[in-house]
Amino acid sequence: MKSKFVYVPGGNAPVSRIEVQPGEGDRFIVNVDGKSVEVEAFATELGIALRRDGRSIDTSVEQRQERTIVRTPALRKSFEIEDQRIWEMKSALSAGAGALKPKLNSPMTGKVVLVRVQPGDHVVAGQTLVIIEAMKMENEVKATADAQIKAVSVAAGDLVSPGTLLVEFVV
Amino acid sequence: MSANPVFRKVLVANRGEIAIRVMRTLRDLGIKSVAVYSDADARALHVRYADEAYHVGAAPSAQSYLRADRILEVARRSGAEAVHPGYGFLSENTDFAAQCEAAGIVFIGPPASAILDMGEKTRARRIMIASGVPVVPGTEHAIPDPMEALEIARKIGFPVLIKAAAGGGGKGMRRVDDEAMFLDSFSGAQREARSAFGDDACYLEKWIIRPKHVEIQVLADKHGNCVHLFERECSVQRRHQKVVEESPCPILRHDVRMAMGEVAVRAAKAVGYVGAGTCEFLIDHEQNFYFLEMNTRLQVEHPITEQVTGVDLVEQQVLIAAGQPLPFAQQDLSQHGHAIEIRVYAEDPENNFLPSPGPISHLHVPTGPGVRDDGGYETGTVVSMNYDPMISKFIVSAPTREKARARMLRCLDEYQVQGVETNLDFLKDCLKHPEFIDGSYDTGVVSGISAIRAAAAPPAEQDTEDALIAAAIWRHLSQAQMQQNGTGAEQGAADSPWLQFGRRKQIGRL
Repeated sequence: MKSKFVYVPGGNAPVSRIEVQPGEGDRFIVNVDGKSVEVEAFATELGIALRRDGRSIDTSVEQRQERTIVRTPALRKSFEIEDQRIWEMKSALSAGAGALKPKLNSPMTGKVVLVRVQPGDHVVAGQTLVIIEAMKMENEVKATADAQIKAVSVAAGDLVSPGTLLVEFVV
Repeated sequence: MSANPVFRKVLVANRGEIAIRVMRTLRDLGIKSVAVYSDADARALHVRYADEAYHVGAAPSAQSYLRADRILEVARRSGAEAVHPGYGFLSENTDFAAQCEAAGIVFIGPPASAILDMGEKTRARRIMIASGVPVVPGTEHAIPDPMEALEIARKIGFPVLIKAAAGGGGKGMRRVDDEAMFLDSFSGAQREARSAFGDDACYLEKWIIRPKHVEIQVLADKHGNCVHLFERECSVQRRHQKVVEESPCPILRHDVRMAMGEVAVRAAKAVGYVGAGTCEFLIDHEQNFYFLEMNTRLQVEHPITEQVTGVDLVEQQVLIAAGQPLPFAQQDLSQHGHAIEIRVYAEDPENNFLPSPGPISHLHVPTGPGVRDDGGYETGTVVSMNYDPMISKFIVSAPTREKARARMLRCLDEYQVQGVETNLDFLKDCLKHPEFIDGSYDTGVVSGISAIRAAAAPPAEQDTEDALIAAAIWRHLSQAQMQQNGTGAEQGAADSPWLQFGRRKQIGRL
């Protein structure tokens, strides 16, 4: 049976669509954005042994949370690969995120460095509400829709974790 | 030897790779080994490897591996005649060494007095100077008079470093390259020290140009015999932590090597040393060498000396502790070929080298010609956040340095660890550094590695595509396997690769 995935490169790069079509024995046809590649592959103790155009590429593959980490003799790379159906469901949800949710929670563990809004403020979709520092990187938490702020539950210096309430909107 | 062992039973007061490494030699010698373990290590490899194992406390070292009282109690209870402390923990603890002695249990290490003499740095420096061992030249006390300071600077030799006695963190330090600049710089440093620290006391130290960290292994028995086993080059350091070591040192002149060896033996004799010890030196760009300190224990990097000299240092430690004389004299020892060691750590170079503890879902250690792995983990074991996250020391040997380096690079491609982040890619960068390749590297070499990495060409498109294809097929097979399990189809052949794959996936989810 064919598997369909979506590779999310991150940043502004477009996603790639990947299809894996198993064939006879160890043969697979892998289609990346319309380009088909024929390979032989099988599962090993560590990952996938791949043969492509006579080249033998023994890889280590592991899944860690959202990332599929691959080591080949040439490189180590971490991919975000999603099952296409799940990805489509998720994108449908986030497309509908224009529909306002009343509460905004922290997406990560970190420290609040700046709160940009106060109760009563009118904000527009994409406007930065809170900045959270995690792993020495600042992450902007933005409004997903136009809204009015009802309450702000954090202040600069607060430690937050995924699910910590940041901001409530007037519904 | 095994027919009449020197000890019948030895307690190893340590954990992880070094505990296993010591037990391996004990087993070679026909000696039973006793392990101690904390709550976190109840299932650890060193516990399984030992003939006997006793729990000594909670996970934090202070409540287990540092509990001298409990460890001695285990020694008594198990009937162990001697204790090997490994490195770290109680290995340089004079009280523990003395308590062992008082309890009639042999401490496999130097006498408490030698640990004490070498442990306190200014005391060690004084003893070394008195014994004619060269130390980094400098003044022990502040020099108030600039003219007197200049006189001393001439004696030490330029460049010199002027240091504010009250300074620290790089503040109040000035490097002076020649005599003409000295007086101005010295008065300037005094003024700066006065305004910054309210104290204008300054002293002098020789500035070591491009220092290399080279150390000498010594062995001394209880009968006054002491030999050195040549050098280990340990200049690849990250924050004073050694990362890659090799023997011999690629650029050391043989006359300097032998002079350093003689000095190390003199240093050991000056404190009545017994057992295996290491004298650390700095050498400058002209191969002048200066004593830094003596480590009164087995070193992490001891295997490269073993590979090059053919001497099992742990075996010698045990035999010396049992009162046997050294079986060789200095002229019997020589260096053969080249050995390189890397320290494989569960840490994340992409995230400031923070420890990456957790279960190792898969461990594949390189094998083949010329390799030695002193490891403490296997697939399914856990790197605890309570201890040093070193997974293993991995050593290669070859007839020449270039062959050893090529072999290590081969092994770094074979080495696979899943479940935790490791420094394997960073180690690869170290071995490919141009200054490592030509051997000229000094203790600053690691600081340039991230820049080299950033400047490296991005991977070829085909290589990235290969990785993506492997990832997609792996995901496909995982899904197929899960569906197969879901329909109860696993009643197929017990050895089907699909089932193995599923089991592996389950381990991965530990």
